[in-house]
Amino acid sequence: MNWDLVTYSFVVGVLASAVRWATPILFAALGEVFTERSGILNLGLEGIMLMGALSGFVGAYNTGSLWAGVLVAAATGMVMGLLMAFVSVTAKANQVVAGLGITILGGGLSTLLFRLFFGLRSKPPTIKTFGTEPIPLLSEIPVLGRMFFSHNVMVYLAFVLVGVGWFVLYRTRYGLALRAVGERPEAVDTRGLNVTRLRYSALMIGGAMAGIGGAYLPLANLGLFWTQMTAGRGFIAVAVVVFSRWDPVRALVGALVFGGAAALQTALQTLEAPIPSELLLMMPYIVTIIVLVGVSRRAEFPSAFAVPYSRGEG
Amino acid sequence: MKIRLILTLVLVVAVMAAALPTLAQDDDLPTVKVALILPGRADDVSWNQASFDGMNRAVEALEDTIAVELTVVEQVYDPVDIEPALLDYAQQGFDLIVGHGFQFMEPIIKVAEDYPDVNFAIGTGFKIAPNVGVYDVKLEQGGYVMGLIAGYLTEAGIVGVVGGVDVSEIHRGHVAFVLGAEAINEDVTVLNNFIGDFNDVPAAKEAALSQISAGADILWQSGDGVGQGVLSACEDEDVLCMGNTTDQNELAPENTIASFVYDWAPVYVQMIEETVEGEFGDAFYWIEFANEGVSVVYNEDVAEDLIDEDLQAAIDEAIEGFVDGTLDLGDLDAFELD
Repeated sequence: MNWDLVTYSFVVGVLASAVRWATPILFAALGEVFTERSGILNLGLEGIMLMGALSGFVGAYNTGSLWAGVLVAAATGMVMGLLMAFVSVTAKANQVVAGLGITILGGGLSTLLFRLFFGLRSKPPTIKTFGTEPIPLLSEIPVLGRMFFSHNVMVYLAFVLVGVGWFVLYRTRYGLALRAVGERPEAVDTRGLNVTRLRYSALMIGGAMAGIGGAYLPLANLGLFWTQMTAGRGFIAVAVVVFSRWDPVRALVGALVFGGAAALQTALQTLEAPIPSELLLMMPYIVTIIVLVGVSRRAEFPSAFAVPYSRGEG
Repeated sequence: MKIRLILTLVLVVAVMAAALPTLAQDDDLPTVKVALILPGRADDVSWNQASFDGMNRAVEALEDTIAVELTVVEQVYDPVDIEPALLDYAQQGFDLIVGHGFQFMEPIIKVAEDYPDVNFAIGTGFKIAPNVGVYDVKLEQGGYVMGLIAGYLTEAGIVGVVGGVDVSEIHRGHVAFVLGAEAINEDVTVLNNFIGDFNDVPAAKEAALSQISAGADILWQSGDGVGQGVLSACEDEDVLCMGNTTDQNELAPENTIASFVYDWAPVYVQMIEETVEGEFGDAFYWIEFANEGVSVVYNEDVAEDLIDEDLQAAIDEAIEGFVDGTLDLGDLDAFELD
């Protein structure tokens, strides 16, 4: 272990890295909170994130506007969510199988589309990303300033959406209906609300958020698209949602726990910790499993979770 | 996995149509059917592109002596997809099936036993068989030279290297990077990170940023998506960096000093010729400085101000030492990286 390298700026760097790690996962997890609250499990997040990354990159590359890229990614994610809705709500397919199918589709389709858009070229297309924009005053707070308030605008957007998500879920009629439809769809139905429409909307919100989460990587982090660049972040988002017990604020905590573990293992490798890299690389996932085991005893899944709704069969 | 396979096949057709000129079929020439299976995209500016370009150069070089019918398939990355792909090509009557990556070793060894008349080549590995050969890069030679450059030029006395997984040629490259840096600067600290996934570009960028915030001021990387993340971090933080696998100087033009470039054509030519002659297999085929399979390509704009006579002399001496065999780094596999 090389303690000489551990300076104030290194430690703060690790914390800031945790937030960067957490952001794309947080976007996807916030959307999945809505989806799962409505009673649908969407394991297609990984594929939707990849489609978001691809479409966001293409959108920004062709329009020259990063925000246009974000919108294109959200719209693409919404279409993917719609597809999942058709398969799981209308066709009532097994949601685990349908979700994994979406993930595989997203991985293959994003790669194919990238080739169709850009062809085979020797130098990859790149874009300029959202730059770092420290928030005045707040960014000067020791430690917390660099951890939370010295990032690009998409990181702040994710934080803001935590609040928005909480408000919509707990303080609006739509949020109430959504929570009810995941618990007692037949009760929602007898109140004259459309179960199918509610679940479709929840999947579209989830898809749009996963699309934005995927687009974070090319638009705010790297400036390029890479095959399978989400590398499992979509599945981590699903785990974060269970950890959060379907609450937007706890989803933020969950994303930060995973991001923190990932940033910490990276730092330990850099500091030459006497642990093989293979073991350190497992650490964020082991932490995720341990946390999930600890939390899941208290986790009460929505009563109608992953159960397709059919009128009159209740 | 079916969907992925179908998409991959669609890709192949698209790539073949776009990239490959129609091969003139000369009736007098012996014909060899070659399948090149890449774990990534043929235009990744890295591991896969080096192979794709090298194979096309090899086909061109053999134009007058052997008619090569080449099929390229991309994106066979997951171990679960590899065996079916190998079986497909083996049954379709290909003469030489090339799996461009360490992850192809176990599946190829397994499939090759059932298809003794088909030749298989593995891109880096340590197991061979009568109809299986391993081709590999002496990445340690590049790692050592890149280590010399980094160790000499660092002002902080700290340099770093980021790689995908600590195996095979990547391990040797990283160890040699440490040895090279220490050979020219005995006080140097060399940081080492592995990502565990060749496509996780964002994670590689975080690893590079971690090394930079620990004080590293020159970074190298052992390729793939990982390399893209490292170059991106160096550009953001305005830190010097070096490329690997292909000429990556253009990717971060103001920060890259040089790239260690692979040319697989010499070994591909040799393997195809040996397939025709029936002598292929049970062997290792290396690209190295001695057969000009590897080279150091400088980014003149950055390098001319940085690489002085002493450093150039040290680099040239090392390369000559590798060519004539006087520079031997010893058993690098025995060297553990934390």
